[in-house]
Amino acid sequence: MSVSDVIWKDFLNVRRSKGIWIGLSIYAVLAGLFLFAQRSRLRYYESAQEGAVATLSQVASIGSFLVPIVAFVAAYLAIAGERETGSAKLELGLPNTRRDVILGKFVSRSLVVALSIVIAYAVAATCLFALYPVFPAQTFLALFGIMSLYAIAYTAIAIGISASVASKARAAAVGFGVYFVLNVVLLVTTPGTIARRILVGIVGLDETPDIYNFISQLVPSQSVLQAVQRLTGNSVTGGELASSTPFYLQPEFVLVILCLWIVFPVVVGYYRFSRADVS
Amino acid sequence: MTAIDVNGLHKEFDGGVVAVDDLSFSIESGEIFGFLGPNGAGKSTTINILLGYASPTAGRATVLGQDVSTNFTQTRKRIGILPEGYSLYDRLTAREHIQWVIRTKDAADDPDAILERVGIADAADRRVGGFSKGMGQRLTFGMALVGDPDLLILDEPSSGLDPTGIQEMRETIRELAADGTTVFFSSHVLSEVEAVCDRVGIMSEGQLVALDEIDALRAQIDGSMRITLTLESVPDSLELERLNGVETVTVDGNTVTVSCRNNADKLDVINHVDERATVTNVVSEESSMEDLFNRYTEASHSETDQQVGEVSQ
Repeated sequence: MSVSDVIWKDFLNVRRSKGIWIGLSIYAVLAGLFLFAQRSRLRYYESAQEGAVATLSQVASIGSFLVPIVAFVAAYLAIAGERETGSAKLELGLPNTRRDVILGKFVSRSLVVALSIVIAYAVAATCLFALYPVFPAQTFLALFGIMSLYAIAYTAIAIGISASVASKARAAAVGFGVYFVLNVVLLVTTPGTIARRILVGIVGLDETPDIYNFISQLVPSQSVLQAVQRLTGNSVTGGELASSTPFYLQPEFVLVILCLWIVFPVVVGYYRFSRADVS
Repeated sequence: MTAIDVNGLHKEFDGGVVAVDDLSFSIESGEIFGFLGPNGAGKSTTINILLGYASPTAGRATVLGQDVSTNFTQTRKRIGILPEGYSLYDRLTAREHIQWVIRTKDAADDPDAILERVGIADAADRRVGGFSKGMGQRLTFGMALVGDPDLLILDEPSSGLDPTGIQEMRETIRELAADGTTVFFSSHVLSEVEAVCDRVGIMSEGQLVALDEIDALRAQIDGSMRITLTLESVPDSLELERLNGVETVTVDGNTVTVSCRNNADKLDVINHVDERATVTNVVSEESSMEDLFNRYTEASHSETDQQVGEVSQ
């Protein structure tokens, strides 16, 4: 099976890159520092449990901005870089299909990026055990799972970009553009707000908050943030979800959104890569 | 059996640059085929199509009986490739590169034997990032040898190699060909191709301008058999021009240079001069591939006005 050969070689190559390890440790360092600094603020919460959950929720929020950068650093050169240097000629000269190459790289880089989440949450767990009176296991595992999937989704986006372009510079430029649109612009506004302006302000429809929320949720970082807020009760809108909340606004729906963000970029990348001339 | 069959191959890049223009040729199994041409003639583009890196705009290419544009992947197990403009993985060792190829090709080779064969066994566990160009070229040649391929495609294989390296690679290529491996050898260095190949194709501006055995191509050149005689003294009248087959005569001090139509004419020249003067030295030259090559590539330059851009690497 050639996919496994691509993974074997790529993992061997990537794990010797110092740059990748520096990138991977950033989240762990920040998560550790944050938990360390926040331990003295536990007394402002009603209970230690609530304080620990809130702190974990903030660690996840930090991750929602940081993890995409880690994933891009780890994966944006996976295919475009090899096309530019010419390693791709050796790889595609062997009995590897382009599908094998893109899937192999995706799996290998996903392992690497997921490893950074594992390290960060191992550091977080150590801090919780050592410095906090409680360990909110359920929240911890849920957030760890969501962040891992989020990291893989951004790896898929980075691989999709890398497979779609022929040079390092373009991969970097497109990667930066995608990060800017999906993560930075959203500090100012959300897709739901934009949709509301169009639907209500221009088209003249009635207010439909569920639809705006759903549209916002289509963006991975928003989806993750909303899920984290609902899981930890640390919601910006406050309070429990109403029982009438549609399924697509439940916190579990983030899994569907993230899986779509894994499949879609890889498929687009494969479509472009399979038609490209590698020379 | 036909190892490579190219039929009406055409490749046009965005912007209307034609790199390969209606190219057709075929190579039999066991042949060492030289693919010659100046940079930008379309050699690399042709090879990129043969290896499935690029797809043709029109036409067909079949390698080891398989159309390169459909289900070509498994056929690559039987092909060894030394591409042009490749790059190795700096962080992997030489042995790991060979192991990777062995795994991917499902081959049973011993990595150390391969490294021994290409002369870099002592560097087996060194990372390739510190390799010289020549060592990298040896390693890539070793990777091409994995799995005892039926077809070797070598694009400018001697680049970066020292004379010993070139000599060793040539010997390996001859050994493999003797065992029935087909070798497709692309180069712009004429002496390279002349030294190993049975048959050559010369490409210029996207088209094949010559395709024949080397000897046959040589024979096509008139008047380039040269013989240089050194005499004790040059007599007033040699009257060499009267001989059949003699084309030009130049006298420079004590040396007389005569170009004639074919090898037999040279003997007549020597006998003729020997009767009239004392010959101290005779140097006979065959037409060089250089002459041949320039003739073909220049001829096509002047014949065609069409826009053919430089497309390679």
